[in-house]
Amino acid sequence: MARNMVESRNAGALCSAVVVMVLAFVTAGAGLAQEASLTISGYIGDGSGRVILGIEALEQLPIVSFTTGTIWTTGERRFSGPTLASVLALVVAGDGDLNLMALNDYAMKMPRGLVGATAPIIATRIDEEPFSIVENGPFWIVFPYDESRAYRSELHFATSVWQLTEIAVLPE
Amino acid sequence: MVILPILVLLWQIVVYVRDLNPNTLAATDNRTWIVAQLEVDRLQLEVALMNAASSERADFAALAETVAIRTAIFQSRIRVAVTALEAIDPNSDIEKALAFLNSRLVRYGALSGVDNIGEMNDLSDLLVAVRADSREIRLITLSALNSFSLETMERRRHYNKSLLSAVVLSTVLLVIVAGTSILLSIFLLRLRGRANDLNNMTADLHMTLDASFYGTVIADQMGRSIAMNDAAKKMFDLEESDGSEVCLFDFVLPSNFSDDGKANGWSYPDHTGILMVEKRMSGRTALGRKFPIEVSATKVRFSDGNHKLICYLRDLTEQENAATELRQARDQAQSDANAKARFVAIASHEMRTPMTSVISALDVLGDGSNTKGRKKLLDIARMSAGASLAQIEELLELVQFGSQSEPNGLLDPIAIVHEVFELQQLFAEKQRNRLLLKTNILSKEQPFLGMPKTYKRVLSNLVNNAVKFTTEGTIEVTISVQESSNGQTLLHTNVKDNGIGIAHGNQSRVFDEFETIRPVGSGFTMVGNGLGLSIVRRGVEQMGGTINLESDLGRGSTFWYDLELRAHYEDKPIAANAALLDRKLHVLVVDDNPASRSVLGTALNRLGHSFELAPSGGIAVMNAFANCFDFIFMDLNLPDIDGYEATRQIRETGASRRSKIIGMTAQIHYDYLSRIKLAGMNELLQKPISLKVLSSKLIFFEPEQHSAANTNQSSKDKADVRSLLGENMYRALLDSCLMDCEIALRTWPASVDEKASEEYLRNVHNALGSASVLCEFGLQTVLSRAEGAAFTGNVKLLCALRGDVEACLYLTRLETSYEKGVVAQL
Repeated sequence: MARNMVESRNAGALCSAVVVMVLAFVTAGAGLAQEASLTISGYIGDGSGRVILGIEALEQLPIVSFTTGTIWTTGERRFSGPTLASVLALVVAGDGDLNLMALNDYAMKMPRGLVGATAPIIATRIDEEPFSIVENGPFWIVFPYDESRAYRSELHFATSVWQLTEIAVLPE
Repeated sequence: MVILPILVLLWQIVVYVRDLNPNTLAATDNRTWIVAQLEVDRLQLEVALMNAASSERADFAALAETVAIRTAIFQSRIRVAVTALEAIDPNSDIEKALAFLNSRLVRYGALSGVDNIGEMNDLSDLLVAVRADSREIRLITLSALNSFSLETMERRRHYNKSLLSAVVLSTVLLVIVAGTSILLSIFLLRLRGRANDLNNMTADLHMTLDASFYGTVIADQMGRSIAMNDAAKKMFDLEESDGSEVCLFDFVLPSNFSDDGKANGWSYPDHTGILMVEKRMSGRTALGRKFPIEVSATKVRFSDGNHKLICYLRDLTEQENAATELRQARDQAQSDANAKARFVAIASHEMRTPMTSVISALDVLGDGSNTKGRKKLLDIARMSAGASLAQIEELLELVQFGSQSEPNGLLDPIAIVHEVFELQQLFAEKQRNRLLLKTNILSKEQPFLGMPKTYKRVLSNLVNNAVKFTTEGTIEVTISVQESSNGQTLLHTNVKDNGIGIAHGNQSRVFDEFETIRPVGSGFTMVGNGLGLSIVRRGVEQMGGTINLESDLGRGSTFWYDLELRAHYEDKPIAANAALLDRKLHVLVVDDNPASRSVLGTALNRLGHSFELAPSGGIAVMNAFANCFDFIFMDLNLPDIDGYEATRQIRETGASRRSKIIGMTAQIHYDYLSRIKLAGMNELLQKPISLKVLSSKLIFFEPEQHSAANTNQSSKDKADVRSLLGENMYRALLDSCLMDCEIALRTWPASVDEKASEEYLRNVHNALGSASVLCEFGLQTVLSRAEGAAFTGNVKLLCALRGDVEACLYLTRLETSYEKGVVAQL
């Protein structure tokens, strides 16, 4: 794929990252749907690498689910996926803000403060099913909007990036 | 009522504040962005398609994938845009847009299947389609954007309105709250003020009650006190306690309360009536002391609905003590007055009796002897005794403070002077004084109109005084008639002596009662009773004049006074005297001697009175029975029935039973006096009766209302006694006197053979005493004779006197019963 490039690096201290990378590599040959993967770059690990995570890799992490309505969907949907925080912890990301990039070259800077323990999540399933590009998939940063008014601010809406492709951890 | 609008307002404010939440704007902003991205994603798809269409076969697969991705992205955008548009209020544009977008979703979905990507033709078809949609997408975007902005504007307006409303409502709420709190605070202040006022009022009430000298107790219906003011506490020796929870009935007892604790006489309060207990009750203090108390109790209903007793209490101890003292004082005064009256009454008779006896004795002596000289001496003695008696009477008059004015009568000053000189002759001789009369009145002149007795008394006292205080001097009496400046006739009376005189310092004092002046160092032994000159002053004032004194010590004194004489009439016949009299009198003359009858008749005629003549007693009685005479002159010796009997009969009944009956006799004997009184005659005159005497008797006539058998003297005495004792006591004494006489009669010796017993003597003496005190002269005379006879052993006289006593008793009873009859008639 034009865009997906794998660079392997020796990260001695990052055993789990290696495991995940292997896993990601394994799934690299899958079709369009199975080729969905998320890239974490920027200040991670020792600060110079990139990590590519597939759905399976992401779904290894603890999954948080919540049901909520959004301004882009009709009715309530159940979104499930790992928390952004856990993903960032997985890749040993720095504490700086995040740059979120989507398929259509949409990019948005998310302040690190928005990242909570349980929200947002990187949704990998809607109503227990993976969701395609047409359905704003395969990865969507979702907040539990219905839970609190705090999640319904402009910033939250703007950083609820769908068709997520890359998360770049910015320097602090 | 106030809370509900407040709640509504608060809710409205909350709603508005919620509306202000900027989050709703956030959603709209995002939707706007999403819809705006439609064009971008369409363009990118178009670009991807063109790249793929113009590429070489080798790159096609990669480019085709890009197209697929872009198509998917475009589709997802459409879907999200549809969702966004559905959130807008539907109008025709929106609905058209939605329809279009949905159709495109379907078409692109169909066109962009993986299998379809492989063919070039499909890509060009897609390209054409995408290009064709450019304009429509643009329009939709613009329309949506327009809608969104309108919506935003609307929302902003709504927001502004909400803000305004919120502000207004807040202000209103604030005002209401402020107003309410102000009102509340005013209300609370007023409440507090009222509570204060109430407290003040209560305090004032307490103060008022406490300030009262009367005890005030408020008790409940069972008589237990709720509040007691200080005065009440003090009254009941409860000063230490607060005066509550005290049972009233223990302390205020009805006056028949017995000490064994049974309360009688309290009327217990019922539910309707007002409790009113006896006004005067017996109070008992906490220490057991009893005192009289006045209670007035009322039952009222207080504002809490309960009945309470309000009692006002007054300690009556002082009042009762004062009342008792007053009563005692009054009783004392009463008994003092009674004692005084009794004393005066008795004293007057103790004083008079000897005098009357002396006069009577002198009468007897006078009768017995015919020696001219001795007779003259006896006359003098009698006159002086009479004057003495008059003096005693004056004393009594002064003591009683009841000096009655003497009625006017014929006043012959010259004759009076002669009489006085005769009286004082002896005394003057003893003092070796000369008595002289000077006058400008011719002896032939008619007498004046005045008060002869008073004049005589005054003159007598003046001359007596002058003689008393002069030795070897001359007492000159001047009587003159003078004309005053305003045409009045004045009678000037002047008594001048050249005795020891009166010092200037004493001159004002001499006329005071009981004032005697003992001249210094003159060896003077004569002391009077101090009344002489006070009687003079009284007498002169009664006659309408003023007594004057000029004197120097050692050079004698001159007493003088002037009298205005009202009617000075010239030399007129005596018939003019009749003009003085108000009435023409009707007189009956009873005499068996025709000469006497005619003489008297003529005299009466000359005096201007009418008369009738009767030759005998019987005819007289018949005439007196039928006609009312003012006077009856009754001769004592009459042919058929004597004067006494006739008088008795006339007195019994008939028109003239109240007439004045004057007896006439040639020779007055001593025992005639008692007999005429027994018969009922007023007076006894010696024949022949001169015109002068006749007219004087008639002039001094006053119609009397009762015909008691007494002389002028006795009746005066009796009147004195009666006024002194008071009617009730007089009657009581009279009854007891009559009783004493009855007792005496019971033991009276019936015949000559009996002797007078000791008991009889005692009885007679008692009866005599009673009669004396009461001035029952008739009884007194008879009883004293009886006593005398008993002592001397003259039983015969004693028996004879019994009849007299009975007659006297009868008359006295008649008199009293007649009086009662008169009173009843009145």
